[in-house]
Amino acid sequence: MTGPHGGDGDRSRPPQRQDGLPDWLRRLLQVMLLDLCSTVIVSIGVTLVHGVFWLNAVISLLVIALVTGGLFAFYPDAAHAVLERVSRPLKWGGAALAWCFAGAAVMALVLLAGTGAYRLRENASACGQPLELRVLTAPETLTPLRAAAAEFANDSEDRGCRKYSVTVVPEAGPVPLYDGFRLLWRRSEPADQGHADAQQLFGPQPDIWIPSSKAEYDFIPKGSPQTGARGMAAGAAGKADPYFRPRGSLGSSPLVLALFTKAHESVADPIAAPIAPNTAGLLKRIADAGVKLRAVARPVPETSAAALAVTPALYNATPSGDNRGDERFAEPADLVAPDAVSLLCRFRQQAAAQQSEPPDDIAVAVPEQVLHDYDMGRPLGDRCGAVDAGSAPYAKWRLHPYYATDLPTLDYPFVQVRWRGQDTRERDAAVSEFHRWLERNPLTSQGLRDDRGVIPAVHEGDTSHFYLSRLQEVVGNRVMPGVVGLTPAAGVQETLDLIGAARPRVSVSLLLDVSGSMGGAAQARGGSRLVRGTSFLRSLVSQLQSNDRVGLQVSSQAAAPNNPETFGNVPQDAASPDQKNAVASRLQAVASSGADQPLSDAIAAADLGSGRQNLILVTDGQLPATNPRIDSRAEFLSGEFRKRHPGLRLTVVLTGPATCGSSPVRQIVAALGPKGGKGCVPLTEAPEVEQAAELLSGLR
Amino acid sequence: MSPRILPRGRRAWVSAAAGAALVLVAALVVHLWPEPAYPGMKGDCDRSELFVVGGTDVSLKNQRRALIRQWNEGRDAGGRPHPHATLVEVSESTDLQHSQIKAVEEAGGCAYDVLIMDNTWTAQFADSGYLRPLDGIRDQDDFFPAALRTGKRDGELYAVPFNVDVGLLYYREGVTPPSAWPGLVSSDVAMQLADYEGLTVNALEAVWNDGGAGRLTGEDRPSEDDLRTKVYPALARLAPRAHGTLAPSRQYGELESIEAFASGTKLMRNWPYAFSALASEPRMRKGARLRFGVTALPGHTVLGGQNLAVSKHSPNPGDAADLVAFLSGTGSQRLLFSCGGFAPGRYSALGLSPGHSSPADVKVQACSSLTGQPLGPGETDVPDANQLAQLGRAVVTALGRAEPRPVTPHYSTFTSTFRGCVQKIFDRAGTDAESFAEAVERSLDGRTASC
Repeated sequence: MTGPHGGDGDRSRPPQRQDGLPDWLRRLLQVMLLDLCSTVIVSIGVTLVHGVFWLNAVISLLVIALVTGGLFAFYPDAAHAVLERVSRPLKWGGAALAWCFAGAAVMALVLLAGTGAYRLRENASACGQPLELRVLTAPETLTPLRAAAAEFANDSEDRGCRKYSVTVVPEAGPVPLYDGFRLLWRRSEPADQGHADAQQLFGPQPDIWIPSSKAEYDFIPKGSPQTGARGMAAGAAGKADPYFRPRGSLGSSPLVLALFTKAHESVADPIAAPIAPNTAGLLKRIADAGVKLRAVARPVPETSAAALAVTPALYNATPSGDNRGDERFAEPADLVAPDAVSLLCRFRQQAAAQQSEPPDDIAVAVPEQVLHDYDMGRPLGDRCGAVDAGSAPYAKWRLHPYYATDLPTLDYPFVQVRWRGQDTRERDAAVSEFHRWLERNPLTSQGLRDDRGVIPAVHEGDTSHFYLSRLQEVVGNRVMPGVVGLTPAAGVQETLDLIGAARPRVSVSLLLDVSGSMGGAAQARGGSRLVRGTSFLRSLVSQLQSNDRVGLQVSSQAAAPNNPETFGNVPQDAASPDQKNAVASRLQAVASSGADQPLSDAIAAADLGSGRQNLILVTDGQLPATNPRIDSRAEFLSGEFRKRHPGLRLTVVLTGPATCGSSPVRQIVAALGPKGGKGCVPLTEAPEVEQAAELLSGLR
Repeated sequence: MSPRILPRGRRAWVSAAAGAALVLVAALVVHLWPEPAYPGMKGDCDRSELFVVGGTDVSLKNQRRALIRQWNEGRDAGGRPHPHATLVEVSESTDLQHSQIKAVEEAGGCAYDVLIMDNTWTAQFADSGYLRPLDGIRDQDDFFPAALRTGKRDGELYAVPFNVDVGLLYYREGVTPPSAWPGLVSSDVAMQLADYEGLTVNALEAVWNDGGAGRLTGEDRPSEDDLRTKVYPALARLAPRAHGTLAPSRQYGELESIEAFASGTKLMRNWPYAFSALASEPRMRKGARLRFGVTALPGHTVLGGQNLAVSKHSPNPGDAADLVAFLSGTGSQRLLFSCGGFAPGRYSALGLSPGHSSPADVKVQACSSLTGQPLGPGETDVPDANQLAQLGRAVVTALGRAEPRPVTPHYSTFTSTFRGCVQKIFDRAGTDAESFAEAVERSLDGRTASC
């Protein structure tokens, strides 16, 4: 390189042109130089605003080149005049400018080298920590969301280091969720200052919530300043905590009625429209085909937004207008499940056991996307892993969807949740990035329809995803329409009221054994018997509706059930949110202490009110030694006590180690249990919410 | 004429320097330009209460909650009431506890004062600046040294043991427990080989006891050669067992193992808390006598457990440190062991001292003796003092052979990668030693990899 002349030089000497370049080329170079300078200046300015240097530089260069070219093409004289004027000072300071650029270039190289060395060092060193994103979604969408979140985390990888880690957990259902968001993610408010030693959360506080439908989102309390909330996240007054930011639908999935293969073969009609005008018409078509349904199994609506959404259509499907009958029809006692994946998981387990045939007299009401996961062998929630759906046992239990225009379509809104004290720019950016990623990689590759209700085409060669069209190929185009309407789900409270009116009201007296032995190890699952028992009772209470009644009494030699001063006792009242919270908070805070109070004495001492009462006694079963004269006590219960409480039904819930056949439980149940009913239920390893739903269904 | 590459003259130097300065300034402006303020919802950190965050209290008699209650009812040395503390129970799942605590801490949230952490989290949380050093903890010599080391990072103490976990061998009445590892894995034994953290633990124990001692433990990084020639072969040798005597264990977590053992399996590898669960299982008792025994695992075992630490963002770090000292103190540790079913982190909780720590010297009391609460008629302490002493002896013996899992701030990446590889080795899915070594090596640095 021949460097420009430095030094002060002889200013009187005329400029010499020693380069021998033709005039036009020199002009061109001058213009280029001008353009380059302008580009750098413009780019720096634009980068400050937009941040992507190379793109801004290219755009600026193009713009300036076009302007310059245009100037020369259309106004050549003016362009040359400008050029002359510019080139004169440029010539004067040419050398200085050249050195200026040389210095800038050297500094740019130094900075680039520094950046490169830093990046190389980064590459060689360990990764930084990925930012933790917590996602809450309906149990039905757990599998698609987990698959998408895993892909997102992998895609966020830079040189082998993940930028984000994503934890996806299932929600407990719309009713528990209402309390969860109201109480800053605590399961209950503290019972009182003297017993606020512990509080339980619903799990991680979600940064992102993907409910089943906008109706579910609308149901959740928002905007209140959470006055009175104390503790970990209580914050300044005036701002809602948490703060919700809905960002639109991630896809859609209609609710369907599904039949097992044998019934489907009877009902399937190649010339029938794939979407029935309404559910009533669909049920009529099924009946006309000779399939006599004993029930349309629907999950428990308090714990499943999808079940809530389908309920009005099921109620409207029968001409009788008898919602009570419809409710019984929708919740068969042998198929009570807290959500659609639990319901279908049960069928899959039956398929795996190969000990029974699929029931032909049952239809299930579930989202199409869950049906897809079931039929395609994908995992169903946390309890049912992936299976080979093509293998004989599972193919035999395949479900076939049926559609009706009044069955609502779930729309899965993406909702950002910001919590006081956890709301940072990085977290906000991570949520936005996940949302953008989901827009580029929609959940249509995980078994959902798009937000217009259309089944999208499979991407050529993509075998790693689960498109709905694959299920369409299996069950047939005539069965599964390519487009469905977007019937919105009805309001949650409105539907809960509808269900509340249709269900028999239930009065529940909870009697909890809190003797010292309840601190021992529970059977079936880890933890103490008291923790298992209270966890079960909390699930049960959360599923009660406001027209039900509930009360709690505790029992041990140190805690009398009939003493209002005993901590833990809550007089029976309507199961309003406040009453449910009062019971739940005491269940949370109660501790085991004192010797056994004999079961018969505890029952006799309990305040049971009048009328039709359900007494639910949770105990480890106690010992014959702590229940002396059990035969005569049982005689008292079945005689004199029964006369005083003719409407009483007793259910003993056992945490173990005693079994339903152990004394004194056996005698107590024989004395007060329902004739031919389940007077004694041992807690199993199944989720408490499921066991509570089953018990409650039996009581109703 | 030779080419000129350096400026000559003042004007040229000034011009070059100006150009360089301009670029430097431009770069600094781009780099340091302040981003617009983010309107985040700030937490209210002006509080005196203490919040202790951890998992659901699954201790027997809700002993953790009982300790918090005891703290709330107590007074400090100056006679002032302790600041009120609340135990925040996130979930039973360790992964979900980690998710919540990490998210709050990385946001700089002041929601929690004391963290109950799995002892594998110390490196991650200390390196990320989530923890305060615990300078004021007294009687550090009284902690089991191996357990205390799990709370240290770069020589600084960030956490102290709340409870320790070591692999124990449970054997049914009439069964002689094997004294060597090969005898154990060829026996009718229930282990935890389902796809969760238990698989990592059991696989590491298999490696350490079958030619891979000292690899994948503590802060020492294994070389790829070690992983290829010592670790992989040990897992490959375990694979046939995973299709033979250990086949049922591939479906077992800890609770399934307990159920299998209670249902007739002769041996079981499990943590100390299984003792209390089994002791109250009617099938495992004959009157007051237990129909099973417990001893240390033959060979090396994983040192698990939970530690207590003070959050960097705690508004009350002094009180939080006092609460940590209380919860990890001898009295609390005794209660956690005798009543709660958790193995303690201190010698003194088992009647031992650093210089007097033979398993034979373990002395413990039953729960009712410690709490002074009388038992009802016909009720007995389960387990009783002798049974607790047997458990204590097994724990102390096992602690002498216990090794920590790999200490890395990327433990979660390591364990998920390692588990995936072990599953593939068990399934004979074509994983070779090379890809295993490369994947595990990368995962220790937090890099994604699979076998």
